[in-house]
This record gives sequence, structure tokens and C-alpha cells, in this order.
Amino acid sequence: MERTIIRKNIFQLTDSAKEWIVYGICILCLALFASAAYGKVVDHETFSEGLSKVSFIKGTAIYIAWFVPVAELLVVVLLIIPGTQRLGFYCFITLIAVFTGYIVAMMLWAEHLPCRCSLIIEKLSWEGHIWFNTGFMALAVFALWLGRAKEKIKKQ
Amino acid sequence: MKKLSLNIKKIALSLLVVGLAVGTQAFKNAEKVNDVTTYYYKLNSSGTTYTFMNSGTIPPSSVNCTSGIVDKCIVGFEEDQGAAFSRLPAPSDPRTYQSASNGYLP
Repeated sequence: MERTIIRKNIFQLTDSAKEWIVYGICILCLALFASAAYGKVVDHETFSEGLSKVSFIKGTAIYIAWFVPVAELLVVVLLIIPGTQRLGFYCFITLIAVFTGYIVAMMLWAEHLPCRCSLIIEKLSWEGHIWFNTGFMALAVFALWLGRAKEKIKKQ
Repeated sequence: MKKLSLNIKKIALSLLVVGLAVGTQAFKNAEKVNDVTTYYYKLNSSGTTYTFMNSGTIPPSSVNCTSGIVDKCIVGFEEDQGAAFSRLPAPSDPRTYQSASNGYLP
């Protein structure tokens, strides 16, 4: 009983509020990946061409150019279905981490950086991209943590 | 029953957001298509001068643009701006096209 009270003090929000915060973050992640995947599919040639110019992925560019939008769409589907939302968040974090790793690798080793982005991120520098991705990763981790905290309280 | 109804609402709202995101992106892509002859210019590596690339209705590919934060890699004008012009001060004619990202063409 005492433990529950202490926990409730830490998480002042109601279950419903937590659920809606998680859902709000989910919507943000959805919008990001849906628009990104759409852009890559519609302008696939440009995307594929851009990747083929990157020396360390040159050989596999054609596969990566399809894998990335398909993976993004898969994450979108996972996030839409309430039962698979958690898995969706895990996949989202993994994918964003890979993208961030790619940007860091490009900044460290690539001779020149291709620029191909959409929506609000088109105005960002590469450092800005890293911060943007990190921000989204943090949001997704927060959503997972919030969901887990809610479940723990329910179990007690 | 209440939970199911809430889930359906969430799925519907999610689909709406996906539709909006895709729609915005599609609208943005459509905006890029220009049916007026435009004079296209590329930014140099020092970010100081735009030089003439070509004129036409289809913007040149910005695939080879390398990153930079100064200004747009490729810009377009309805009026001919000559062989080259300084980025600053900007020409008095408004840009009718600009590439998606900042950068320059080597």
C-alpha cells in the first residue's frame, strides 16, 4: 500500500492522461515515418541515386533504397494497431538509431554529404538532424517508459 | 466494449494523421512542378555566388548537392539573372523555385 502511494506521487498523471500522452507521441512518430516513407517511394529514383553515391553502401544501395521505406511503413502499421504499439515504438527507436548512426558515419567518413530531406527537416543542418532524431528517440523512449510505469501500477 | 470503441477511434485518428502527412508531402511535391520556364542557378562551394545551370520547366536534380547551411543548393527565377549573381544581396526578383535542402553543387 505504502509503495503504491509513493509510486502515485512520482507519476502524478492519471492513467488516462498517460495513455493520451503515449498516443500523442505515437501520432508524432506516425506522421514522421509516414511522410518520410511516402517521399522515398514517390521520389524513389532520386533517393536510390543519392544512396548509390555514398561510398560505404554503394553495393547495397538498391536494396537499402527499398528496405528503408518498407521498414518505415511497417513501423507505421505497428504504431497504428493498439496491440502492437509497444513493438512499434521499439522498432521506431531502432530505425531512428540506425539513421542517426548513418548520419554520424557520413559526417565522419563521407567525402561529401548528399542532402535529401522533406518537411520541416529540410531546413536542418546535419547536426540539426542528429538532434532532431535524438529528440524523437527520447520521445519514443519516454512513451515506452510511461506505458510501462502505467502497467506496473496496474499490476500492484 | 468501451476499450474497443476507444481503440477504433485511435486507429481512425492514426489513419487520418497518416493521410494528412502523406497529403502534405504530396502537395509539397506537386508545388515543385513548375509549368513556367524558369532559370535555374546553383550555389558555389563558398556559398557566395549562384551560377546559371539551365532554363526549362523541370528543375535540375539536386541529388549531387552536398550539405551546407548557407542557402538553397539550386534556385530558380522567372526572369533571367545572367550568367551568375551574388547570393547577397539577393536579386530583386522573387525565387520561383528552390531545392528542398540547403547546400551547394560542387
